[in-house]
Amino acid sequence: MNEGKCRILIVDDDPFVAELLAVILDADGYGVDMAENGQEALEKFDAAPDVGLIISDMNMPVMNGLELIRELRGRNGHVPVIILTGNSEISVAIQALKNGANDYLLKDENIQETILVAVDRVLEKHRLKMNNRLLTEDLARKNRELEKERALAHKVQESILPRSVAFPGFSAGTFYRPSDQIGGDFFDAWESDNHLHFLIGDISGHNTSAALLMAVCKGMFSSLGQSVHDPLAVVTAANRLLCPMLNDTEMFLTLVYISYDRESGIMRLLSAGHNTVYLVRGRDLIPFDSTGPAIGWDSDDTWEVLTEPVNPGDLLFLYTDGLIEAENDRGETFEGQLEETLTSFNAHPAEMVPRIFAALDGFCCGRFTDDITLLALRREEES
Amino acid sequence: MEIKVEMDNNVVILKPIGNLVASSAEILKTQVAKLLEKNYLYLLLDLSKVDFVDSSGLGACIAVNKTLAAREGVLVCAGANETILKLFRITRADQKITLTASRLDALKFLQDKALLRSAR
Repeated sequence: MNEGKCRILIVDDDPFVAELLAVILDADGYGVDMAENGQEALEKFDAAPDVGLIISDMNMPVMNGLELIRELRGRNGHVPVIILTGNSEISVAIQALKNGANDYLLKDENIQETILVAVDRVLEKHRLKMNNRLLTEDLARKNRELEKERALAHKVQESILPRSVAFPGFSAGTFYRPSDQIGGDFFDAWESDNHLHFLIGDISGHNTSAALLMAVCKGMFSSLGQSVHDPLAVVTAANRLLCPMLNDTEMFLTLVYISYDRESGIMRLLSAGHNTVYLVRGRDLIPFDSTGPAIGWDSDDTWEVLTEPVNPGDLLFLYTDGLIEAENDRGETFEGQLEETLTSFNAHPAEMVPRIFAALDGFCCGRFTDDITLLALRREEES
Repeated sequence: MEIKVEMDNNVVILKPIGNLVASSAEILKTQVAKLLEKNYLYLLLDLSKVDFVDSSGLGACIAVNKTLAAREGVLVCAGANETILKLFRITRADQKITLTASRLDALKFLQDKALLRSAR
């Protein structure tokens, strides 16, 4: 047997045909083995399953060709089978094909010429099929690994974000939902030197790079905001660090950064290209539009800072654009409903946030294409 | 998304058809890189057949604008709808990229820029 050529099992109760085929295939470099009926072929196959091809007659004693194919396929054997058939038995051959044979060959005077062509054709087709199967299995395995990785990244990302936000004198509610396991939204809140810092950010895109940048930003802002309480100083410094990192990528982020001074009761708000956020005061809504460009475009960019007292009972509502861009089946966005929704829920922020999400979920029937983050903070009434 | 390419003197007009989102932003960037290789520096992005630009699409516009500016080229976006204009306004991308209402205005702006440059 030539290296690279497989072993072929010839199954025929007619020794003349079997011998003829064996001589031709042997001369062409194949290894050849013979069996007189299906049963014997099956025993040989079980003993040495490295057979590359089976050429089998249909009508044989003990076990015929059709039974042999059924037995082989029942064993989940992928070995290709060529059926030998007479001119008068084409319908039998077709039945064999339906039962898992790969091809059939007429037992006529041309068989000496046709056998090698048929063997080559069937083996090539089988090789392609097996390659295809391997590639598909490989792809499925890689997809499973990727899904596992993304599920893990989702957990890591969730653990990066604050589990709960709680400060004396304030109650809070948060909601975070990436569009597909991982996302580019983030939020944070901390207190230092009698100043509360709140921020919400949205990295462009929601792929792995957005998730990585989200982790970098979360760390960067909270570290810058430990000792500096001026939103402009924090955001300017962060922008100068981020611009060189994001150069040559199309990534950027929008962000709202708020620093609230407990002593004066006044908040300073900077919005870097972010969607309008709100201060809810009773039935009134005070909107805060963007006060400057998105972050990551130009190191020299600067922002306006707005100031506003936060009175007892006031509620700050920060969110990312996944909330207002969610669409219903008529193509309308939730943006038109947001202001009414906000003033209609006079509840604790921890109850209000899930109710807003439930309203959104009902509006867009669960069709979310972007990450969604909600952060509500209410200054409690003084007792 | 497909991008139609037209020429008007030395201005290249790119007209995306469809939404300018993450997948199409890549196509736009590749297209611009090819044009830059051939030294085309005056680019008109005709947004009249674009319904929606997401943050990745906006990021691609900013990146193209930066690349062109670094080579003393110019990008003008024309014919953006109200939703797209709102995104440009909120993020202040309208202060980074020149926007015009019509393609004709954009063309005139770019051709004036090109003339100025060749006169220098």
